[in-house]
Amino acid sequence: MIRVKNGDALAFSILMDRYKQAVVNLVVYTVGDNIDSEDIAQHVFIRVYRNAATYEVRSKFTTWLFTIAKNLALNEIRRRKRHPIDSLDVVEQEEDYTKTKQYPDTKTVAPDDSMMNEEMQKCLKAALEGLPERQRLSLLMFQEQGLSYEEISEILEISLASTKSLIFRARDTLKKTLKEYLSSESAT
Amino acid sequence: MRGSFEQLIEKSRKKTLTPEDQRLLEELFAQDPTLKSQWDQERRLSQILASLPQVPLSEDFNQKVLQQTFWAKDRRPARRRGFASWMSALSEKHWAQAVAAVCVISFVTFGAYLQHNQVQKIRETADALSTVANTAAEIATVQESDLEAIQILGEYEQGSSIDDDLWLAMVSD
Repeated sequence: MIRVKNGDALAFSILMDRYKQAVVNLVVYTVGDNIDSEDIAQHVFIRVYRNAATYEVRSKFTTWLFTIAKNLALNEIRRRKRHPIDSLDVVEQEEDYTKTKQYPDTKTVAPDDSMMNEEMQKCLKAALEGLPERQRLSLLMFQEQGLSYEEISEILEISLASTKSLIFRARDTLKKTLKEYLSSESAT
Repeated sequence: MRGSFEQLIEKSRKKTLTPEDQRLLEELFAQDPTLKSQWDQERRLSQILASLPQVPLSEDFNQKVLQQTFWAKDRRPARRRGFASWMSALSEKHWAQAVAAVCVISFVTFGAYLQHNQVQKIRETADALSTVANTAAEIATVQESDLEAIQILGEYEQGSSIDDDLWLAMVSD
């Protein structure tokens, strides 16, 4: 980050390679779809570059990075709530999705398992979307990004106890929603 | 017992359990068999969450970001000087203010022009009135002198008799 501060484009590129997937995943699963999510993720890094001067080395880079990602993702959710539009892209994307799923990967997974996984993925995404924003964000940061409770509480600007409570409630809701996939029979 | 179980669940979310933890867990299951299904549910949920697929990224992700950061900085044109830079800054950044300023300037100029025209008209009207007044005064003086002459003639008629011979001679002509 110090090299980025000094205008090192290569260092910035390495930084992006290391964190872009995590940022895109967080943005996509927080916002709920792929539309504009890559643009948002790119803006996260543009902000990182533009605000590099304000970054304090003593704070953890991921905390700072995910704070920016969280702010932009929540802004996008609010923007969509203010201007709800049915984008044609959504329909196209869904259609494309079903088209691609007509070709199962028989090399790795049996067709039944593939369908089961596919259905479960859909349910999981829907369940995640159904969670309140902060619960969703905290759970994703905890499970997906592997951030600690302390980091998440710093990013969300809430207490440690509130962070633990958010994650607990999110998991509890998911357990109820995904009940049929959590039984020991379905796991095997 | 419940506290130890929660702690183990918490621990399992972040790292693999040690043999010691495993032994403690087995003991807990033996004491309360319902904990086993809870444990399995927790583990399964973590597995499902971990199975969320990675979102595909475009190949030019880095390029797009670099275009708007490092490369944009290099491509920026050399700073213009003087009036040109002022104008370009106005047009690029503060166009709304520039439009407002132009409107205000136009409005003020137009107002000043109207004011000037009005004053000019008042001045011309005043000049015209003054000319009319002077002329009227002159006419009034002439009429007054004529009246005096008529009055003198009248007095003359009343005061002395007319020379009849002269009158006749004038009439006969």
